[in-house]
Amino acid sequence: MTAGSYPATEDAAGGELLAFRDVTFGYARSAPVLNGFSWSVRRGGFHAVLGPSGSGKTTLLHLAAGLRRPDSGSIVLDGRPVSAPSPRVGLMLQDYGLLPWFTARRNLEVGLAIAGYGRDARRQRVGDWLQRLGLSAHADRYPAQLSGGQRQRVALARQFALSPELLLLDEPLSAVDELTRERLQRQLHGLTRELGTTAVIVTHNIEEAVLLADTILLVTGDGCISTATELATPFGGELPRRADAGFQEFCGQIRERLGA
Amino acid sequence: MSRRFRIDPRLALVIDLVVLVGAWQLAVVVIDRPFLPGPLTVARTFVAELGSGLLHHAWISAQRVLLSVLIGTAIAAPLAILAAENRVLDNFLSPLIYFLYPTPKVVFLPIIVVLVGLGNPSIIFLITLIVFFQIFVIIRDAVGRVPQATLDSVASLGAGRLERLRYVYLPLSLGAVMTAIKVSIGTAIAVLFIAESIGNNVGLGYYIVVEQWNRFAYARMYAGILAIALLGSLMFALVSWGERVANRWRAETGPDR
Repeated sequence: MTAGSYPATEDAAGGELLAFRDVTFGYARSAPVLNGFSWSVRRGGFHAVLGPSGSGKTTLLHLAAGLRRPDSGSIVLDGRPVSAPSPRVGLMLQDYGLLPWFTARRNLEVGLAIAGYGRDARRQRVGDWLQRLGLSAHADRYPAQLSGGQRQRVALARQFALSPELLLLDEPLSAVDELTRERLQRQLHGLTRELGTTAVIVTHNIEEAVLLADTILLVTGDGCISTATELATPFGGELPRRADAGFQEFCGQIRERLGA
Repeated sequence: MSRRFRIDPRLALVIDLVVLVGAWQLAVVVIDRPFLPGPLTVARTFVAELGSGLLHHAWISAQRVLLSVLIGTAIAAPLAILAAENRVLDNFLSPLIYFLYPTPKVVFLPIIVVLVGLGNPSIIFLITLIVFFQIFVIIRDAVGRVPQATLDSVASLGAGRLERLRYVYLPLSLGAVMTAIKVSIGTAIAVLFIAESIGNNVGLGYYIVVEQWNRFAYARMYAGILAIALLGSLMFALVSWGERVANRWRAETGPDR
């Protein structure tokens, strides 16, 4: 099965939101990272891109976010080619991408200011989202004064305050401890469901992919993505329990597929 | 069991002053020559002189340094950001900077005097030149070290050039500029002293060299030296405070639990 035959999109509750069409991309003076790659992301779905480090997963997100342009092929958001970053697409980077010289509150404000929100709308959204993610008490602290989990929540709040249609997450939970990670996973899952945000998460953690996603794109580690297998997870969008036999079994299958 | 020795910083300051003044007084007794008046004489002269012109000279000198720092920053900051962003421009500027940065600018004073004239123009030009190089180098390096992830992060929010400047380069540079000014204050005041002592009739350099030293008015000369030292310290303290505020975000307090 290749990405050309999307088993996961056939149950299409919503249509296609994002599509990679025959995309080839490489950094200057090195072999291509993506080669004739096609992929479709269903509106409202939670999609994981799973693979080892250095397999081009982050590049894939940068392309989707409009930070880089494909050498050939096209990337289409809601029927229109992606040519530059847009407030409809949020990108949460590996190290959270917070601006260290601004407080948590100011980090949220800056995102909204760049997206063109007025003063009052900014203040209200910032207050709302800081509160929703339990950050009100930390609003005036700088990122360096926050714990990893708190920084993570600030970054999430900054993204959700912009109400993006598509949220791209690059290893968002890799730097936090196990308990914090599980709490954030539940929070992330709940928020995307509630707001109908389409999400693409890049991760090298099999359990995380299986736990959060409806579909998982398996990327192999040979440094170039051309075709990739996409699997639908069997949990119907509900957050599965890690201890369940079904969950463990599915993770095992994926582990085998990745040849781990 | 060893316990670390601690002392109240205010007490340390008082001890410092006592030792300094004591050593001075001791030197006066040992050397016993007119060119070294005692601390008490100098203090009395200082207070008397403040009322009759010294304060005015100090104020002029302070204005010259402040203006130079402002002009130097205003020219250096945009150039440094451009150079950090544009490799071609940096390729042209860097060799010039490497050559001129370590060259003591005060050697150009005669040329500067001919070029822009005596007094304020040459004094401000010279100090601006010194401040310019310090600030250029420090900002260019700070901006050049911004992680790609930070730039990607603001770019993904849809930030253009102007927003990158406003939300990334300016807040980042502010702390670096304060550090640069703090480092260059000492040099700026040394150069101020030299530049003010020629072809000019106001400022602490003029007061010390022309009005007092040339007339062997040693007590008043020391009053001037005291004034220049106080001016330097005051500026240093102000900039250090600004530096702390601008760098608050580099908190060393660690995460809040």
